[in-house]
Amino acid sequence: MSCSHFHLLISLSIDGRLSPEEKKGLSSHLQSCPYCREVLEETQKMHELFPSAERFSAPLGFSTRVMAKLKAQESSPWWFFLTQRPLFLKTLEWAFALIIIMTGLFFGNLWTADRLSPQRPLTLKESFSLDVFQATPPDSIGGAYMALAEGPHEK
Amino acid sequence: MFLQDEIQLINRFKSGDQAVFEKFVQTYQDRIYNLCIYLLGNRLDAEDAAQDVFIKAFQNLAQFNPKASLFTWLYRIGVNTCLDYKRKSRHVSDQSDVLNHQPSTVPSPEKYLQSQEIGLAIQAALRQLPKPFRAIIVLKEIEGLGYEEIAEVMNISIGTVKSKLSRGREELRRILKNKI
Repeated sequence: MSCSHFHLLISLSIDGRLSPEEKKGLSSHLQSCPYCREVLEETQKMHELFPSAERFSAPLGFSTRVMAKLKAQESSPWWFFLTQRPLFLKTLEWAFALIIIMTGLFFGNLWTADRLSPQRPLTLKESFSLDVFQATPPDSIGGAYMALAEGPHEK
Repeated sequence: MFLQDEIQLINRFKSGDQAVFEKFVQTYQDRIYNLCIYLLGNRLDAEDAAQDVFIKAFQNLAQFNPKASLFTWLYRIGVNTCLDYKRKSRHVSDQSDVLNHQPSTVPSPEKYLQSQEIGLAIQAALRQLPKPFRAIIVLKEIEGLGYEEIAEVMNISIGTVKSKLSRGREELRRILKNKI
């Protein structure tokens, strides 16, 4: 067994949580492992420090401040609870809103693409040609007039 | 607070006597504050977090099952609040913060100074530990909870408590080596 397994047993021994077999096994290992003996000694020393560490009392007026905060929350506006939601919920809401917007943009783009783009993309020469521009497109007022007057479209 | 007192308090709270909550806060404030200060490392964050703990307790006390332990329930809120706590931006010197704090009951000035030094060294070392290990060390070594209580507070198995405690102690031992 590796020393890391015995380190777990050392921790359990500090708290008196070893079974008799585990105690025997640890004791036997410690006889032949100076490193684990050092770990046991240092862990024990560290464990004995904690009871001497300062115990802190709540500051004066703590309970009064808690009760005042609770009272303030009770009289807060109805939307106040919306600001008190946990972070993960707020993150989810933003992510959902972003998905809705991106989906709208995507489908909106698809919908307008059919209407705006030409039937056939123009070549470079064509795009500079004045032939692209119709003086009187058929669906314009001028085109309607020309149709009525039965005149040809000018080229 | 004895078990009967706890049950009485909860029943009075559930029947609408919210004023009894202040007594509840006064009973547990020192333990929760102590827990927060060792988990978070400074007085201001500890007070903020401790207030949040009691506010959450107030909001959920009506749903609390009196058959469970009120003390471990409150500790669970405390640990979770501290693990999730986001430090507010303040310029705080951690060391002076703790030194200016009102002392707990200590018999003599020498012993108080010694306990302060040890407390500071432990706080500094705990701050270097990852939060899950820090929580278990504080619950075991500072708050004196048993393995079963820690398992209930952290909502983990006793096996996990044992292994995390062992690893936390190893890390802390390395940090504290030659310092105390």
